[in-house]
Amino acid sequence: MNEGEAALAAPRTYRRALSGGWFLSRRSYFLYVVRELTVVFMVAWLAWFLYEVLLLKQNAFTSLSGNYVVLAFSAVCLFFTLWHAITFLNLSGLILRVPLGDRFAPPSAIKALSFGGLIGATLVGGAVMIYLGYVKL
Amino acid sequence: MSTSDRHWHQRADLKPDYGHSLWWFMFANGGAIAAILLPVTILVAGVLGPLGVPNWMEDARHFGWTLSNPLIKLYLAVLIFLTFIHAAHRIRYALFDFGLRGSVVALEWACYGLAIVATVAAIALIVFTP
Repeated sequence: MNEGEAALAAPRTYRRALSGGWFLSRRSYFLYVVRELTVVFMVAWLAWFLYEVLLLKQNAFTSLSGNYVVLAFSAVCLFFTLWHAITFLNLSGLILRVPLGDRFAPPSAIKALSFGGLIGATLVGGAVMIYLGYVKL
Repeated sequence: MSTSDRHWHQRADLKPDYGHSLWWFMFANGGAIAAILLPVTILVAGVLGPLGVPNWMEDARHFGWTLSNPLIKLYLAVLIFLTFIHAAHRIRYALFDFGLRGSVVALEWACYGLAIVATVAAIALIVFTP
């Protein structure tokens, strides 16, 4: 087999194969992967919540007050949910193109509205959820 | 005018991939809904509740009474549905990034299928509780 035939038999590839730990080679890659995996904690918390609903349906629900296992689990999930929220809403100014006459609304305004929504929902939603605990039944 | 002379958006042989756009649409909306509504839900029920702050999951009576409200059921159904779809989309692409590239179609069916089945089960549970 001459050199040309050998090259045809085993052509050189210009696509570099990624190793399993490619995301450990650079900090930005690692942060990207962490952002992708924040959904695991969001889904885990919702799964736990649905389990509590199931317990309620089976008349087995007990108060969570003083349950520090739930507190620790929820604190971790909240941390990653906020990571998702901040990184996701940070991109809103680039992604959402809102026409304003013959221009687009400035990205900084879109971003401010998005974070305003997060803060507003936290304040209003939080107040409602806490108020419901004080309702006399 | 030949096909190659036209811009891509003028070519009649290229059709929009509506299936693809549907998942991306729900991914984006799910991400926004989860980003805005999920933090406060976890904060109040999962963090402040165990610390002793009264809330809608204070005890079985308050939890059941709150869950009997159709608006609360709707809120939870939307939050769960869109978060699950968002998660399925992210996990599908994360697995691709991690090197699982053998069967993209099987991966899509697994991720989106699981999200839809989980959503249906969750909504059934919420609708029929208490």
